[in-house]
Amino acid sequence: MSGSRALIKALEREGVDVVFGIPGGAIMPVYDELLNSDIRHVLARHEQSAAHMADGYARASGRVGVCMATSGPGATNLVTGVATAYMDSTPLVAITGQVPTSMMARDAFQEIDAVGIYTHVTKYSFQLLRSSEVPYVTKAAFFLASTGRTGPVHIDMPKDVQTGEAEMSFPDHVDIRGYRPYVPPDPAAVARALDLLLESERPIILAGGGVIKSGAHDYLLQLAESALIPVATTLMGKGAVPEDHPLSLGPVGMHGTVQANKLVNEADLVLAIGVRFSDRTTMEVRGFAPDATIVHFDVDPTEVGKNVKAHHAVTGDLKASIGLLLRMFQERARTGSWGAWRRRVEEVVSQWRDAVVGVKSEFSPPHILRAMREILPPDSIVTTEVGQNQMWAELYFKVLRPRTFITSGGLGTMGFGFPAAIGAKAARPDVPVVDVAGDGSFMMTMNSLATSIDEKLPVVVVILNNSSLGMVAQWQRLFYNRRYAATIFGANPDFVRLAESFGAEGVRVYSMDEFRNAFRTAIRSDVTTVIDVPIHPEEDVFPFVGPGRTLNEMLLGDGRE
Amino acid sequence: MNGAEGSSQTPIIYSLIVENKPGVLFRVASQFRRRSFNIESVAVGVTERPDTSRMIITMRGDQQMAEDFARVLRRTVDVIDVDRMDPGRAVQRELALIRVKPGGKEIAGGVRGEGELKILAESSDGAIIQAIGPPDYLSSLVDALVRGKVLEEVVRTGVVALEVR
Repeated sequence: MSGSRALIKALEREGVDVVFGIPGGAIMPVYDELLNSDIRHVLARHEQSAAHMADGYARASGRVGVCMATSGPGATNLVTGVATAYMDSTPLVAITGQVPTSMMARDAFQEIDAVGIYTHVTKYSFQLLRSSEVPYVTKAAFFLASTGRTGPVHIDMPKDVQTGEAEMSFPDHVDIRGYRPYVPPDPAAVARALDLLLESERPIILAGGGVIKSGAHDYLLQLAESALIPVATTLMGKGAVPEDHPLSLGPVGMHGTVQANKLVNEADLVLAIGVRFSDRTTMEVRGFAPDATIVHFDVDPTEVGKNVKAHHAVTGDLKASIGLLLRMFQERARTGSWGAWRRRVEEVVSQWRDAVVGVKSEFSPPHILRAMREILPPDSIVTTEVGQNQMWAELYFKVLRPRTFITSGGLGTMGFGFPAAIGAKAARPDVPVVDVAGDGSFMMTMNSLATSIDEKLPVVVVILNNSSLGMVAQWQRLFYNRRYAATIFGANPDFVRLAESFGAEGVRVYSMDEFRNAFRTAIRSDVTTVIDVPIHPEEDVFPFVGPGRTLNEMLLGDGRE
Repeated sequence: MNGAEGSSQTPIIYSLIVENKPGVLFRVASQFRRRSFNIESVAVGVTERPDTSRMIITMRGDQQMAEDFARVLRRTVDVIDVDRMDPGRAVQRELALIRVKPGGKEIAGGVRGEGELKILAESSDGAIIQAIGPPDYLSSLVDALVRGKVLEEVVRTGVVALEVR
């Protein structure tokens, strides 16, 4: 059997039903073999988008996403998407073609040291040197990607390894000596965490992306409900609890909600679950929850103490550890004495839950995001681009289910949202998928329109169009004396006609009524629709915690702090 | 944070058991580079098992950083085991080959310390000395030869160490 045949067979054995990619000279044998398989191939128009599509697929489905590209520029283009997945711990297998082993390190045509590059943005990067290694390496790649702290894994496959024939044996499992992902939580450590919780007077839960990835969200919600503890999230944790739940505070951070930022800073105990305390979440770290005991649950021991010192930590699988914490809590059959704290929480929440701050008109992005929530069914998937659009979505779009909010949190990759939406649609063709976009980000990967039309993966793109790189412009307004260095676009395309030229629908709206009508039509359409929403060019995102400030130093955009 | 800077600089010795295969040193070294840690010495050799190697890596830094970084090394897939040795309980040895001008032998012989010297080659131009001992001894030896203006070149293996049980 050839290496290529073995690769495709190994992918089939992993249950892969779709791969995203672009062919090229050094990966042609693999593509030829794909024609003999039921695995669907979705043809991207840029390798970065292929990786984002696989990422969106993985985040929407909870399965491993697969993307592939040729050697050289194919491999380098793919890197941004793989690095995006790495920062957000998305399970991905990225396969790149490589020049034949005999040509390696000779600066051959389209040769790049892919392993040298990918090692820094993956959990592991494999260099295949013999065809017979293909089954083991593929199995190991899926094992690494999908276990422990999930993340992308890279396989570099020289062309002669693809064409070479070998006796293949396909393992059912692999054992990697230096990799032990199944660490059960220490019951004594969980019990200590519960003691600290019950001793506290003002507890708060901070839920991160790890809660969703590990499937711990049901246990977490039960814990919050039985103990009546409010739940704030990180950006990546949006959807860990339904954001319309009375105990939900929404996200904490630079663009967190007032109630979440205030209450985290008043808490005397933060139960941090599956978070990595990103600087965009904590802001000035010395002022983060200054009175709180930090109890940190995470699957990755290197996260403990990395950014915020934990007073107590529980490492190991989150579903197991939160499940255990919940059982122990129920067995103790008592809660803390949190009556005064609950009244304080209710007071802050009722004041701020429905607040919209710092908008220019009634046709401002927060209103658009809220209208989207009213119209979309609860299990619809929303992706975002990066910048103001993303932060408006963070603040004003309430996520009701895990895995329905997909955003580039760690790397902040512009151009992510649209291809991620296409990938999510491939995973969940049964639900509407919407990309909340800005004009700047959308223009980075808008050639994916061709993919969405070709592959019949219809999504809705809502462009909050301010004809600028809005987040940078916002900072220039606030911190650079309104000096707009390279942020104002002189000539934007007509996004309606642009969409139409690809065979998609395009529509421009000037009022909330027009938006609602266009959006209702778009989410039922069987072709991709681009809704161009011209917004005030000086619309800023508020609340806003400026760089170097602490979470309780929020700007509200109307002169208030 | 750059853990290699700051006031609480103490010796740190990592002993790693790693896969004996290509690319492992690159992966381990990358973790140091990303944090701008300066490796003082690294010695790598195969262990009693042919499929594993041991790396002894020494650097300076504070103890909390050293413990946090040990977890990073442990997370590295090709790293099978990480031990942070207590410098006070570790037997440390390093070997140096030193080319000296005439008179170097005598200066070397006068350096005090827990080490052994052996002359491996000698001529009227000078000698090649083999020195084995703790890294501090080798550093004193090199300093003395530099001060005596007899040192031509030196090559050191890096520290190997085992902890006393």
